[in-house]
Amino acid sequence: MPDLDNHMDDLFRKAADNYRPAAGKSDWDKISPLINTTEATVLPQNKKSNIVKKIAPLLLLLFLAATGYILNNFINTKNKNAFSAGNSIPAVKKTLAILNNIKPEKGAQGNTAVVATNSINNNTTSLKVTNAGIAGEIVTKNNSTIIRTAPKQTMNISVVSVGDEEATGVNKNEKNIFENNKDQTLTSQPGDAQISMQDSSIVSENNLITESKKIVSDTNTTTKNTPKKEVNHPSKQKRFYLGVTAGPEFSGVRRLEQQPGYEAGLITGYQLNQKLAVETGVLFSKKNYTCNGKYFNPDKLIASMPSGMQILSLSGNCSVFEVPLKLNYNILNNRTAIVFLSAGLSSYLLLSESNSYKTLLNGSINDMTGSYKNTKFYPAATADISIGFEKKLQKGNKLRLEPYLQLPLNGIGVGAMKVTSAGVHASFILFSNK
Amino acid sequence: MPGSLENITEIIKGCIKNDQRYQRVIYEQYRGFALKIAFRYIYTYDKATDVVNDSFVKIFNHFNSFRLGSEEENEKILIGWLKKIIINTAIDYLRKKQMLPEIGGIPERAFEITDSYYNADQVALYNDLMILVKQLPPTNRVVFNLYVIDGYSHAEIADLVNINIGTSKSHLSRARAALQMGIKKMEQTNYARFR
Repeated sequence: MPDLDNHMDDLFRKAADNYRPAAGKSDWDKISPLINTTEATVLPQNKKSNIVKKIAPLLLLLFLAATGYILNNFINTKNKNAFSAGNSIPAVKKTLAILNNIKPEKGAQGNTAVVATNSINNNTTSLKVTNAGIAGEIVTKNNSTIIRTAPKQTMNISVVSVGDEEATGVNKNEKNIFENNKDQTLTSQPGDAQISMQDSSIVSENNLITESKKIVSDTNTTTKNTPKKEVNHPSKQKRFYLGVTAGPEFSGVRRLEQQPGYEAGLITGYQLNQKLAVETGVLFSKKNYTCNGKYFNPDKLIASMPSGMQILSLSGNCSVFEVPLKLNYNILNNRTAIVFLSAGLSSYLLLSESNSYKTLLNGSINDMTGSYKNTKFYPAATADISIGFEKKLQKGNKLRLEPYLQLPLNGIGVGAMKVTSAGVHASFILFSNK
Repeated sequence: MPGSLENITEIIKGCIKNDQRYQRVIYEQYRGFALKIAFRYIYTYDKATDVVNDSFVKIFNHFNSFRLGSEEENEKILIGWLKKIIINTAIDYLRKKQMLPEIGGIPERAFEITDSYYNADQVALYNDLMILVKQLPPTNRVVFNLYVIDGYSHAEIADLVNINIGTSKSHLSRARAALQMGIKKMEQTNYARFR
């Protein structure tokens, strides 16, 4: 054994370099939680985060529903307050006093009804009313109130005000107005009927101060119904709107994934004219997708992939905030519904991405997962087209169904995938009164 | 030795920043290399993998102490650093076990199946030689590994294992004698072609 004795150390060094302990399976999942990390990127998702992710969409929908409910209530309350005695806006109080107590003249047929509220602000209130089938408009501006009717029409109105503190103030104003009428200082707009007072009396009844007046427009003219002609004041149209929207969404690269994601958020818009509106919003979207490996750009992952690994396919999902900017064009607009076409761009703020890869390495196919939390903004990520159907509700509010298609302009995510999305937005639109 | 990586410097920088993507690359690329070292010191395969995992946790938690060199040198520096930590972790483990000799055999599954290699016989020989090393008493094994294979001096070994330099030399000579005996036995049975 002389050769072996002389070269034993070399032999063992060679053996140490070339012996082959079993490779075994990777214990990365076991050790990665023990590493102090600042960026957890390729970690198995724990149960807690899974639960949070599962209930997050539900919470978001609840939040949106609550927001819509609160907004709706707020707007309704605002409208209601505009006609209640406690309102502090003098012009509204005056109109309120008239409006709340309009009564049809004895013998007249039909009831008094508010047809439309054109606008309410600090100085001016305009209400369209009908009384006994006659259309008219009550305009309260600063300290004067004008009742407008079509020429040669008479509108008979009784005004009764409640005698509490607020209403007393209202009463005074009303009294002032009618005193003004007596003095013939109440102005009449061109085309408006001249207002004159025929009767005035004050009656106390059960602590209520009741003031009854009869106002007849255009003295000695006959009451004759003419077709109602609504006056549309462009400056008083409702232009701004706000809405909540949600709906299922199907996404994919080249072909849409069967498992739907969802999209939900807030939208807001401005009605430019009868036909056009510009609209934007913020929507949270969860997109599920599958992708052939050839459409996945691995450049950003090369550093984290073993040499020679090839991505065959992947499936995954991503969470994004979408900011659309689009133009709506009404192709049909009648009394009950609107149909519009829409086109625009959406920008994405990518929040997170999670992919399951099928990879090929040294002839064997393996499954790998990757989760990425790097937030990144993608301006003009998609071109959006849609067709919308709106059902008009009371007070200008609308229900909308809007099938849409989002075509990718830029790749998003770690693999720069061009994700196409399609879905339907169901929206509730609230129009601002201003 | 693992295959060289194209962007080893970038990967090291990623690890210094605690980016787990890069940490995983290092782990996947070097865990085989680490196991080869640890399994020379630790008798059982399962304990060796535990030592490997512990080593990588230490490595990644202390990557900020890694000092980058030139582009060409970084991989060598990294390998040397990994090796040092793995050896230290293995010796710590053995010290906790008070260098007591292990019992039981080494199962065949602890080694790769060698049929598919063109030099399968050679690999089998190397595996058997390493089994001889593993069968040495723990202190003899540690000293032999450190001195013969990993290139430590007796002074360094004495310091690391907390023994005298003379004791280290004594352990080495006993290890060599035991290995020579083992090789003779192997030669008599299966490896006549070995010379």
